[in-house]
Amino acid sequence: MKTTFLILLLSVLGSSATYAQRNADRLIDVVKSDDASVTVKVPGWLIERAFKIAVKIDQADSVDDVSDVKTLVATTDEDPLHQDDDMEAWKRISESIKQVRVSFVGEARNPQTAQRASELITKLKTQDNFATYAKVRAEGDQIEVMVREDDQAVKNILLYIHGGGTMGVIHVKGNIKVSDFEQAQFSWQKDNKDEDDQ
Amino acid sequence: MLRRISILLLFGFLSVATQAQADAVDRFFTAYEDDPSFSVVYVSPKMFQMIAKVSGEEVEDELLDVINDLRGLKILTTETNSMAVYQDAKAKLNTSDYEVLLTAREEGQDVRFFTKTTGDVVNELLLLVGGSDQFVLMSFVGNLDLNKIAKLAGKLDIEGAEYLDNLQN
Repeated sequence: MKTTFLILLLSVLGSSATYAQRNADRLIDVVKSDDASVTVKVPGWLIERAFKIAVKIDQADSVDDVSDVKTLVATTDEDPLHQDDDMEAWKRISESIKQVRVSFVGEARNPQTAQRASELITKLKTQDNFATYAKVRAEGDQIEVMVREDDQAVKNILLYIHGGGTMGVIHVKGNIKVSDFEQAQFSWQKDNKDEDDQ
Repeated sequence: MLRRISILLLFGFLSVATQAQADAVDRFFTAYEDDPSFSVVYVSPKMFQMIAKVSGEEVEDELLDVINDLRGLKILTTETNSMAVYQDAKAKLNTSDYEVLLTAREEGQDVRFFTKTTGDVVNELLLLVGGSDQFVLMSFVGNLDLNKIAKLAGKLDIEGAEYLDNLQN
């Protein structure tokens, strides 16, 4: 009986989480349905792995020292010590990301794409508890950042870009806690702190 | 006991009045934000917190200074039926709740700055510009330094931002 209850509870919780991002997935599908679109889905483990490799490259004396990647060459004008710090900070945040989906269309061929996207963005706010964090619209171009939070953590980040025939959606799924950002120490924050101390 | 209840009631009324005005700006903004003839900028308080935390050296120090102080930003501009929208704004936003900081008339445009303060701290700055050519509404919320916001005039690539230059000193 207890097991049945647990299974039911898990399936209800699972379905509600899926329901909450249903319109975000539909928005990706709308852009994806255009003939000229490019869509990429990157799983969280791959992002985490990529950051780990990037950190290793930063810490290694040369790319040859990193067994995972022999052909990747990193060049930068930045202070390497500071870049290490930033990579570590981003790596820590990347561990909370479960998936990133990107769908982009350079010249939308289907005139209904923008209309359907606009309807889904409204639904994201009214049905799926997404909140607009930032929005800029001028001369027909629009950029909007929407976020769904639950239990003090960011569950979904959706970036919508639309201008001319270009349309793009980036959907990040994860469980990014505010503390993840607070614990992450970026180099510029250290620089500012050093300046303040002086 | 009666005194405490009176103080509590007073705080209650004050907070309701403040909220009502914030709601008035929100409602006005919401009414026009989806109208394609308007240019819109909205940055939520949470976004400001995140920008202040994550923004790096690519953000100029002066701009970061302003961002750190801001808790909300709304900008609405249009050149279509600008006078009618301006009249609508004046009717719907109860400007008597604000202190008038500055009024000017520039090239046929009414320019009005309003502030809401707590002690010496400016908590809200409202800019209304209206005339036959243009309507501009800008609402800044946070712990504001007007001199810092004046510097945004040259940095924001938004119609109407130039009016912020009037805040200099």
